[in-house]
Amino acid sequence: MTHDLVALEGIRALMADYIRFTDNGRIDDFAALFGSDGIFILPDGGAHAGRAAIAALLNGHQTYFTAHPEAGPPGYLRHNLTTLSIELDGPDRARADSYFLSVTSERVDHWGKWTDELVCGADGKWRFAKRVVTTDGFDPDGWFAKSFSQM
Amino acid sequence: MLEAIDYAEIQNIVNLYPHVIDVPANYGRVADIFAPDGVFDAGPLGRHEGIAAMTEYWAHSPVRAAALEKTNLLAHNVVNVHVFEDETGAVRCWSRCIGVSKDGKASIAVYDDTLRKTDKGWRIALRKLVPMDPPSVTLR
Repeated sequence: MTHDLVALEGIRALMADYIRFTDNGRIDDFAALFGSDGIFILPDGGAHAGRAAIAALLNGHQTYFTAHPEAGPPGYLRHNLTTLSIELDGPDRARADSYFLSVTSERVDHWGKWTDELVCGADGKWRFAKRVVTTDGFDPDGWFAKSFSQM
Repeated sequence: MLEAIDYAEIQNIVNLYPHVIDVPANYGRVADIFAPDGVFDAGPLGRHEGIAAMTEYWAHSPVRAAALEKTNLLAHNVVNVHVFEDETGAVRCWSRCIGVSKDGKASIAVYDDTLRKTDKGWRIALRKLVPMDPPSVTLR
């Protein structure tokens, strides 16, 4: 296993930014965490390729909740990353596996895994080439259930 | 004295553990986590010495299968990782594990690890599983 502290910390920063941007609605910043041809695959199997498609996906969620105030959103949504395992495949390629627990103002909402393929650009920044989101479970009355069953 | 790369490697080993033991297809990677003579002291779930014995425990132990069936446990979420050298000079790592079940219930335990640097990198020489009291909480 190759270990490079700068790469490892760059990937940890990417993971933190993913949560910071998604939890705070910074959609363009969130989309920029993916490579230009990056792929974001959601638990419903939907694959969203490229930054524009990924930004449109998040905009759709925001628009839905704006149009349906009875559905939420909750006071806040906080993704908590746990169990981050990184494997460097070279100076500009890596894989990562992590678990998450997502908490809203009401309760623990959904939990599962992130499976990532990562690439480091010429600017030294790590980005997602591919992120697959898998849920192990969710609150049937929570944000995730509404978000993915009613959109 | 530990260097920055040691902290990073040990954190990576501790975080790799759930990705191996939660996924049957990855049971063959126990040697990426534990030293060849490593020990997993799982308290009421037994003491398992060596790679083969640990792999057998995760893959086939009826005691573990019964515990998983009872708790419906899906994932070991590792948090609060703390790497340090103790007063004897041994390299230790404390972490907490939130075990999340399908129904949203959770149990919490502490891992108390002693690590050793092998020719393949840092590995856990001894892992003690310490259940927390109260043994379980409800997340929702």
